[in-house]
Amino acid sequence: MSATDSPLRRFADHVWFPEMPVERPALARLATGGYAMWLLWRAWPAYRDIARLPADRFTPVGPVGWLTAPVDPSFFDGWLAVTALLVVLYFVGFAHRVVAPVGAFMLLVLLAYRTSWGKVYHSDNLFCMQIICLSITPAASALSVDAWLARRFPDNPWLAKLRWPEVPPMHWWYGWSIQLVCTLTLITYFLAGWAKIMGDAGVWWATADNLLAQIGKNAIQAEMLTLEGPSDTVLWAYQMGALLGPAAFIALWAEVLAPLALLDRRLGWGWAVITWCMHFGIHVLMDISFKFPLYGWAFWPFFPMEKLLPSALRSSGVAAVPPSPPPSDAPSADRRTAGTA
Amino acid sequence: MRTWALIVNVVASLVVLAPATEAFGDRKWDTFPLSWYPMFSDPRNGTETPRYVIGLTPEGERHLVDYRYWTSGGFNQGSMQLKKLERERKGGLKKLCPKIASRVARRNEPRLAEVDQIRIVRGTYSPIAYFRDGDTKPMKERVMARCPVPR
Repeated sequence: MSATDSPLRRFADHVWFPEMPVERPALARLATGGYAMWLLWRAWPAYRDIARLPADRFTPVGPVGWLTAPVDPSFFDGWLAVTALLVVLYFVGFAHRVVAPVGAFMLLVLLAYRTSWGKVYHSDNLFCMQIICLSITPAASALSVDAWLARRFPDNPWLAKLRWPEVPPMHWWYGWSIQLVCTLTLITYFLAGWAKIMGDAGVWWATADNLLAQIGKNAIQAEMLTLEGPSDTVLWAYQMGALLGPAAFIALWAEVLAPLALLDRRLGWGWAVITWCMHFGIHVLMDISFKFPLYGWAFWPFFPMEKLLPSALRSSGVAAVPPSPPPSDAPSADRRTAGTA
Repeated sequence: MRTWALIVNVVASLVVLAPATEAFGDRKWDTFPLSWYPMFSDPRNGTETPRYVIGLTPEGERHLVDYRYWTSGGFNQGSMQLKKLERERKGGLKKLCPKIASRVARRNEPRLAEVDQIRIVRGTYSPIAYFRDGDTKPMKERVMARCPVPR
């Protein structure tokens, strides 16, 4: 049996390198880029204010952990503006191969700096990781400026250097891009579940009493600092607490078993729906909105969203370009019409 | 190319998975973007000890002061800043108190118009008593810093 036919290789191909249409990662790029633009637009004034907090509140984390003091606020303003510009270029898919990794890195460092003021948030981790994955993989070969330029100036060697090489519109490259995003998404949720079962409560975290106590902790803190009284749903939860038992059980095991969703697309769909319901419950009961998953952006890669595209937009990218010599292990072009999930 | 993609996937997965080992450690470390997502994982013991700020009128009437008087971030950030200053024991809360007091005087919010003293406190509450029985008084309250409002 050759290495290419080994069960391990077939398993890796199934899990990480399935053939997918060029539009799937392109739509994930639009989703993450759109969310990033919305986030920066909405949070722009808050980010500028945070960068002007007293230096004694600065506790650098992650990629800015080496800083010994905050940067000058005017430098931060410029950094914010350049990052926003790069995010727009990522969204429209211009020079993706070169610009996207730089933009993703700038965004990562910016969000780390924003997190370095007393509270390590967990709302941007997943979104940031998805952008990094899509920035280093061919996510702008369709529905992008790169795809338009490839059609308009197919022979320009300079433009060709700025985009990923052309391969058939149904290719494992695109599956790799999407499955890498899905893998890191599922690991992220697994970690959250792992932290719970490795805590003092263990698997008994998944009880109504514990979930109620978690809700109560958050609600009291929120009430003392925001002056807003408890929501009706919190009061309801304290009256009908036993009903939270199944919710706690499902939430915990949806996190712990998340990696299994990589094995089969239907498992992925089911997991995404359950996890979205968990975020909706957290939003309703605790008034905590992890907006990236709550609005569904985080789960796009799990679904064949390209099927919702008008036919005129499908395979509109590199498909129109005569393919250059494909990589040595690229499948032949006659597979471009194969269907997928 | 596929080998390179495989290496990227394996390395990225291991890097993101690495913080899982933190669950075996002292459970204090957390960072960005690599995290072990400890939120909601701490066990609760029936009481909660939120840090918050109250304003007192000369008659002893209490008014909560919202987090926007000392932070530009969200309320969680406001809470973490109070905890951090308390934990550091460098007199940070005593320095923060007059800043909040001067903002209370300057912003002149009608609700806080009669307030003449600011206190940064740590209260102890029972969520069950608070939300199920409607008993919103703290079981105890420790004053960590106090200062007058300059009017």
